[in-house]
Amino acid sequence: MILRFLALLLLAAPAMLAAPAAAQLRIDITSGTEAPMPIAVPVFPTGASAQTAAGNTAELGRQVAGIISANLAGSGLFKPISASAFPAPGVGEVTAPQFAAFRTAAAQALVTGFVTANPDGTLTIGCYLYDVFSEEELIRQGFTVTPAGWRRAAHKCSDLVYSRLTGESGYFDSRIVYVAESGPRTKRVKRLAVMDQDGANHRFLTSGQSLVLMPRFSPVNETLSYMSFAGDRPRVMIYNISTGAQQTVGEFDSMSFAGRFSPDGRTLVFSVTRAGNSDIYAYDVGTRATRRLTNGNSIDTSPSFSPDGRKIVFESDRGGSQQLYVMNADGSGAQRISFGDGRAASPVWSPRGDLIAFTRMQGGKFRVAVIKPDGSGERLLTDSWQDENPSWAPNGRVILFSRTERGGKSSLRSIDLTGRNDRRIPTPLEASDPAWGPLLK
Amino acid sequence: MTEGRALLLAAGLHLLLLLGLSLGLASHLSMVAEPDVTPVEFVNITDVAQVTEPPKPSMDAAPREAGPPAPYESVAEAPVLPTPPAPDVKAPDDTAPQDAIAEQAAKAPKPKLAPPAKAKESFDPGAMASLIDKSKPEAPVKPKDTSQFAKTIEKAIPKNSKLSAIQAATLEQAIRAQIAPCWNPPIGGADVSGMTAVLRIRLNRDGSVAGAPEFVSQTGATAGNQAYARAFVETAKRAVLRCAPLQLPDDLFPYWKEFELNFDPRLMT
Repeated sequence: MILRFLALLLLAAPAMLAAPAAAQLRIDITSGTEAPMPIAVPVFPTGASAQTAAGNTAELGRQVAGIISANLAGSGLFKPISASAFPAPGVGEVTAPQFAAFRTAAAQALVTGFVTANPDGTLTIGCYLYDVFSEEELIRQGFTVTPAGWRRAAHKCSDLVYSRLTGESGYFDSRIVYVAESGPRTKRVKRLAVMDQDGANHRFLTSGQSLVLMPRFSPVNETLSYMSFAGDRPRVMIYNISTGAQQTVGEFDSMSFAGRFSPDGRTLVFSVTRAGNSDIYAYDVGTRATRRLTNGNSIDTSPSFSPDGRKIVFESDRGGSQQLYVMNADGSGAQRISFGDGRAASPVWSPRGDLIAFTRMQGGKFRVAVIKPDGSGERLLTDSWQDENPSWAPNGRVILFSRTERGGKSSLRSIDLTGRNDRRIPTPLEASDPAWGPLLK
Repeated sequence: MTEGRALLLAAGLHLLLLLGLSLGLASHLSMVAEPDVTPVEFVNITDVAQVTEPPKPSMDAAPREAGPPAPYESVAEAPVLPTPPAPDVKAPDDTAPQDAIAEQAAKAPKPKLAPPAKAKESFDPGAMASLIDKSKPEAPVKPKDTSQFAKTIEKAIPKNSKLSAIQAATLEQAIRAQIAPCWNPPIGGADVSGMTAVLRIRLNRDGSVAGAPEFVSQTGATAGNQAYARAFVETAKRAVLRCAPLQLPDDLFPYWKEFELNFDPRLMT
């Protein structure tokens, strides 16, 4: 009996093994295409065309689709397909798209949605993302906005699509602060300006009567730090965009500059210069107490926190030339991380934590580069005459910087951290010293 | 040693082997669960403060938007859509050419199938047969015409044995050449080195995908990069669906009706 059972088991054994053995062919796909993903963003339909404070809902549907297309194209990772390649969907097709038509247009994904006017004067903008090949709905979300905030709904929808398809967080619903420049070289007018990341809703924050430099967003709220030349000495100020309230950082009898917030927004690190020597200080925004972090006769400046708030990268000439160093947030344990040809300046830690962007100065050129926090893996991202002052997008994927041409004209540009997709950010005047703000709430 | 004891010993050894293989397999197939689809959520966006002109140097300048931002309001369901318009009925002759275009579009970017030419070097009668078949597209493909070579192989080699090395290489090359151009892996993400995904693919005899590509396993996925890991697997699935139908030697169908693809972008930047 036992023998018969075992014999049966023996017969069954090959059958049990046969299932995995059937998939005997296993093929490695070790490369793909790096082309941007074709994506369809048809005009968002509106159920019943209605007039709102932001315009007609049918027209808004066209503009929302346009903003989403521009955002996705601007990332360099997507290629929106011309709307003429497929029929404009009706409202009923938002939840039941004609996938075959979008496959015909070679789209891999479909972004659709609707715009409706609500009785209370607000707008609801629905946002749906589909996989055209599997015909699956990947994600959907609706956004209720005031008519004045309709562009933000388009940015939120763009972020939803970007993050769902790439697995990284988005960065479209965010703002940029920078220094707008105008007038002759000898009498340059510099004003703080803020705008959406796509250049819309541009506003000047200061009048231009006094010089301003180095604006930086707080990672958590509507606050900026910048360097003001108003009054008799240059110093770091904190400025609240919502209220217009200003706060002087610390009381020093000499110049303070290069302020930058900690990830929680509670601390500001900056430099104070005395008699050719510059040291790094930390300022508690709440208690207004200052603390000195570096000592010595060298120039220590441009501090930037790691996203966990435990380390600070800064530039120093303590080793003989301007290079990058990483120290603990209390100022201890400084280690040099940049080596090689030339000098290194204006480091800024990625919000993702994996890289530090900085300006590499060598061979008469300024170029934007990235390096790992341990000093390995340095890569140059740009190659122009004078690219400097890098600033990270909130997702740590795109770097904003300023480019000065040989003639002296300066503009804002962005580049993907892969070194691709070098794009100009439109500004009404010449522009420098940009800083990307956090994702809006 | 009696016959019974020998059988018992053999059985025991086989069981051990089976156990070992199963355990090895189990650890090999440790799967990462695909994250669920995010539920629908509605969000109220509050206006951000807008400063239209240089602020007055007053400390008590009020924000433009009065009051604190409204709290988020989550709505579980999507708002009721307006009644959809009457379905847009398309004339049949309208859709027909569209399908034809779709088919052309799907086929157009396909690389020319290398295997037949390659197989010719080693005088592969099966490949020749499939070439002849293609030259006469009106003739329906009869399995018995092309399975001659497969049958020969089956006779020549013991049962349950695998493809010959050259056949396997030919098939691999043909599949790889057709899938890779359709794969758009997400690159440049943080902490994504070493991410790979294995899918099991089942094909119909005409090269179309039978059912959705099946997720088998993934490496490099961590608690911190789940969204990226999911997107990565989806790009792999999309590559297969985008490239289908695959063009593969018909006589080797038993060997490509089911196979696994290991998506590993290590050769990309």
